[in-house]
Amino acid sequence: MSRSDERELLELVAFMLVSSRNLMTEPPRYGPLRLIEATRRLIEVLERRGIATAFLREIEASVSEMPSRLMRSEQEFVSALDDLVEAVSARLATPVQGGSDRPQAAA
Amino acid sequence: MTETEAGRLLKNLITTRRSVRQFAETKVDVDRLASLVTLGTWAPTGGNAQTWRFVVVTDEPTVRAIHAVSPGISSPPPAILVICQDLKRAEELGGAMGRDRCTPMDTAMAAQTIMLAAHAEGLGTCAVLSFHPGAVHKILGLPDEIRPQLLISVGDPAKVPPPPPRTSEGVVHLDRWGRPYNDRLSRPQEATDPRGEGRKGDPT
Repeated sequence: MSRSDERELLELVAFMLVSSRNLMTEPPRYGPLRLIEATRRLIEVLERRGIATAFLREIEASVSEMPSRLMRSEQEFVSALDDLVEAVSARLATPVQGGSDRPQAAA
Repeated sequence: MTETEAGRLLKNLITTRRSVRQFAETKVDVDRLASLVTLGTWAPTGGNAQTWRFVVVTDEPTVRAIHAVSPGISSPPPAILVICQDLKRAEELGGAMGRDRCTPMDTAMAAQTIMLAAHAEGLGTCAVLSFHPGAVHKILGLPDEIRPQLLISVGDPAKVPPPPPRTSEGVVHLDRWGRPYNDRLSRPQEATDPRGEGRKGDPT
């Protein structure tokens, strides 16, 4: 890993650590926003390395809208998050093409 | 009351300033930023203490480092103004009140002055309190007695958000708590004007 790669990852790690520390004293509703932001920054890092899929880019576009959704309405924010979780879950439920190296769960 | 041109301009600046979180990549000239800070020093301070200290940050790696430890900054801005306070000097001048209560107020008043001045020049700003003071202290190499209290991200706005609605009900009370000023405005018959014209327009 190059120094610049490490630097970029360290910036993300710093963001998550400081968020964790500051959330001990910040308003509780900042918590979801920080996790949303961490998601966005993680996908951004992957994008810069050319390993973000179209699906991950869709997620990034969606999470970028989340802060303004929360400003408009908490219900809208929760509903958009539910939709996103559902989309991610559906993707997770799709078998990986070429087969998985993990054993199948017992029926 | 006759409104002056300066008054109109000031009202316009106050009501059109927004917290800008997305900036264009254009650099902001250091001298321009320093002149904003100078205007900030015209804000009042408790006991005229003037214990604020400012660090103007435009160096990209430093901006990025501060951004990394400041969850309140969405994306790295072209510049960050770090408003610090000399807590030792504040304590010498104003005791515990000067150190603990005056410095955050003085920082806030300087910040608002800077943000309005920046807005007058077409620059966007956002005041940020969600940062790690110890980390910023380390990144900037601040002396022990100098503590960062507020960050202001600055740059040419890429996106200006719409204004959130302002709460008015129950905000202003007249003479004593529980007598909202708005109520009085809505009941002109109770106004003190002997001509019964009620109170209209701006309060004097």
